[in-house]
Amino acid sequence: MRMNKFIKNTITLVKKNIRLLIRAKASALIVILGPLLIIFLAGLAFDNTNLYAVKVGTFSEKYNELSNSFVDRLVDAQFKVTRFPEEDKCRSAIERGEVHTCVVFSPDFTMAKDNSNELSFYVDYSQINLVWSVLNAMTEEVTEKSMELSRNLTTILVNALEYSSTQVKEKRPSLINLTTSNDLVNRRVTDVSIRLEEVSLDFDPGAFGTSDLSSQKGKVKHWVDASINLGSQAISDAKSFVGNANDVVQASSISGEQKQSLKDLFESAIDELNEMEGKFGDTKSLAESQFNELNSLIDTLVGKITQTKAQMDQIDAAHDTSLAELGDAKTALDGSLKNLLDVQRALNNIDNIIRSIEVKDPEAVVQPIVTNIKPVISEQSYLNYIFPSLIVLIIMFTALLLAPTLILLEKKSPAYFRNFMAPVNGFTYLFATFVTCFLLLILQSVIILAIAAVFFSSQLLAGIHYTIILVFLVIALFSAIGMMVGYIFNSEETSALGAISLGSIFLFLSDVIIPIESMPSWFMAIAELNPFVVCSDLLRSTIIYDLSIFVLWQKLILLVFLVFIAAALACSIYYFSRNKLIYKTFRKKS
Amino acid sequence: MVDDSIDFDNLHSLIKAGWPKDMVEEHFKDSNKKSALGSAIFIDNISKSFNNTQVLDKISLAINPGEIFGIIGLSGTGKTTLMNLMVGFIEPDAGDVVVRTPSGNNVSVFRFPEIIKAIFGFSTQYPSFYSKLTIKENLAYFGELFGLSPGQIYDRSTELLSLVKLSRFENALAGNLSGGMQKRLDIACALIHKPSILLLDEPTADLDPLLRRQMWKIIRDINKKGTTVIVASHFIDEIEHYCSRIAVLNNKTISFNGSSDDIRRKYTTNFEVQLKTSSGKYKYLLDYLAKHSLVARNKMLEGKLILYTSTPKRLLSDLFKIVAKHRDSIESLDLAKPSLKEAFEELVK
Repeated sequence: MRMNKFIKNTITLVKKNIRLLIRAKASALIVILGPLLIIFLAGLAFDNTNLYAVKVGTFSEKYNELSNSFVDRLVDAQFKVTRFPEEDKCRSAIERGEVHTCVVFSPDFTMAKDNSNELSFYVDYSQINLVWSVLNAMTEEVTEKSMELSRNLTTILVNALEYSSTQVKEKRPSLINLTTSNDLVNRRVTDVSIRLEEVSLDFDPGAFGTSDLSSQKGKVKHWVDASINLGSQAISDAKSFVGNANDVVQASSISGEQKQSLKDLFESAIDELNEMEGKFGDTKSLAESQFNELNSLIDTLVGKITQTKAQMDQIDAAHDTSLAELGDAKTALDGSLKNLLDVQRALNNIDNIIRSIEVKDPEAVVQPIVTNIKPVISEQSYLNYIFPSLIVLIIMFTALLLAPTLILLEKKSPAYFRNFMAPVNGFTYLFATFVTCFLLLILQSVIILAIAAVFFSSQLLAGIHYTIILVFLVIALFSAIGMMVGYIFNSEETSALGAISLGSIFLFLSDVIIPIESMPSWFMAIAELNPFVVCSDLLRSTIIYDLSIFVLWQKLILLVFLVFIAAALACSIYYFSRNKLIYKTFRKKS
Repeated sequence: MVDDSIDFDNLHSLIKAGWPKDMVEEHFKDSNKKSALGSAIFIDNISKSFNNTQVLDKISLAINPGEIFGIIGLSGTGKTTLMNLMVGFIEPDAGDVVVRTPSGNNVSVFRFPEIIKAIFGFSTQYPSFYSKLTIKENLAYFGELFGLSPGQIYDRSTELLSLVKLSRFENALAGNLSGGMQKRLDIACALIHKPSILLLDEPTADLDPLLRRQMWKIIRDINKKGTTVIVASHFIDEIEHYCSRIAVLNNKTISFNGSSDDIRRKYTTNFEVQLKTSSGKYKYLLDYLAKHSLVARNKMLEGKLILYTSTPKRLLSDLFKIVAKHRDSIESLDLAKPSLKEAFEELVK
């Protein structure tokens, strides 16, 4: 019976709420028709994939074939292209809104040597969504042309590589010969060095006994002189003896004949001795002459030996220098051999690398991965992609505006007092507000889904049962949040401001404007709990990917949890604000 | 309208009707603690303050079943506070308000608010209904909240609209009604559930004299059907005229509680004499009256001399003599009983 009374009262209150809402024409128009208008406009706005209305400004100091081909490509892609005479004018045209982007070609924009062909885009980041759309579109066009140029340049590079490979192959034997010759020379130098090292250039002048020769020469001279002196003395003595003997003989008593004979004999001996003495004198002169000659010869020999020693010293120095130079030459030869081997190895590597390059087709080199972005679904409209976010967006803003509107209608109503006097507990009013909001949002969602089904029926209807469950949860969540806002604020203006602010926070903390992934990690963690994000993700999985809601069970649990939290908070705020409101109402009436 | 099927004397009946068990048990435990001595509503030593400002201090009051009870007082003396306390809209700092149920039990307004809500009908100074709903829709809405069936709502609405003379406008939006009609609709809304006690806070404020008379007729008609009516108003003459008993709220407390005659007797014995002479000159009269101490006080109002006296017979006799003596003539002369207004002024002085 109690439940029966609760249900009856709830129905009564819901009927009253709907009547009041409908009769408050402005509220009804904004709250009920507003979102439908939004989806209608969104449908018109997003029902294409092109950017026909994008206006592009271009500037080049001197247009040439290449820059003109770029501009022509943009024109062919149905962009509205305006050529500006100055870069500044082109840039300021963005500020004035005459163009959406300004493309500036670098000076001398040609495919020539050492040319840095820059294509600069000026964009207005205050129109962030348009920027990405324009950049995407422009990049697509520029990439096409850039690819074409890149293909040509790559062909040249690939040909050069092929030529290098051929040359490496052809010149490899010469290099090997060079290496072998180098090695041979090296070995010969080594041999020469060894042989040279083996050559002894030791020269000892002492070994010739030149010093003994001098003393022996003196000794010989002494003995020769002594001999000559002794001979001369002996001859003189002999002559003196003979004289003495003659005297003796003469003086002797022997016959005169004998004396004569002896005298003759003595005289003959003296003659002989004189002859001998003469001869001895000749011998002495000859000996002295010969000795002098010998002495001269000995001096010459000693001088030659000294000269030879000097020459040998020179030869030894030259030998050492030669050995050192041969060592250097060997080192140089070793170095050059090593270099030759390095070159050979490098050439081998180059050859191997060139051989290992499997893809030598310029087309394949320029675009090794063929990017082919395909939509998950085959539709051609952006509306499909944004539809889940759009439906959450509409539910969110409608709930955030509708619930406070209903609550404020009640709070501001003079009937608030009479309602208090009725035997209906506070929870019934709270629940009735929730049900009213829920029903109206379901009605809206049905209309939106019905309209959507006309455009992409197969896609939407495939997982419609999951979509319906999720839409119910989304409506419940945002209705509860909207009720929180309604119970917190006490005037239509502040509640509307609060609702819009809260909706905006949810919106900015979602990936509708900026991808969540681009936010700081801690911010991203908060954004992951954003009811809008949770609802959008779940609806996207059912509507676009046709997945079961249980695949994303964690998010589903999070959503249910959020619903309970929001409901509990709405109840708490209601009971808290109700007491305050009773007090205020009373004060007003007093 | 209190659900007739509910026996308020039976614990099980109340629980079956949906009242919380713990509340009902407590109700039966305490129901006869406070004796209302047969009163429809018994205010027991109630006090209330707001932001440390005492508004009501230990007020006790018993209102009898079936009477029209008036509460008068200067602005800001707490008339509306007292009425809101009676219906439990605000809670007192101390004291209690006990209401007698149709079955004769005494129920605390604050301890069992859900039980007593069906007993009270309250029409506040400012109409309390939905301006965007029609008269009929408003009555149906509040009727449904009080648990009336569609048939009961229809019958009751027809009866009430006839009573408050709004039958012809049942499909008009409440917000489009005139001030007087809105007041009447508010009363109709307050009566939709057939309450045994009807509280009216300034029911005739902002209404012209004709509408005020109509409103009081309606109030009396309601009262005649057995409803206890409690009216707070600053129109003392109306209270005096229509209420069987009056409470004067003054200085945070009830200064007086009784019939209008009682208050007049207690606080003033002066009759009011209104005199207008053909000459329009009253100096000779005032000099005479002052000399003989025949009037308590006097004042001039719209060319008339208003005199307050406790000896009306002698005053009238002397007035005729003096006027004739000064060769003047009396154009009009009215004698009125001592008024509640005067007594009230005396009381709150």
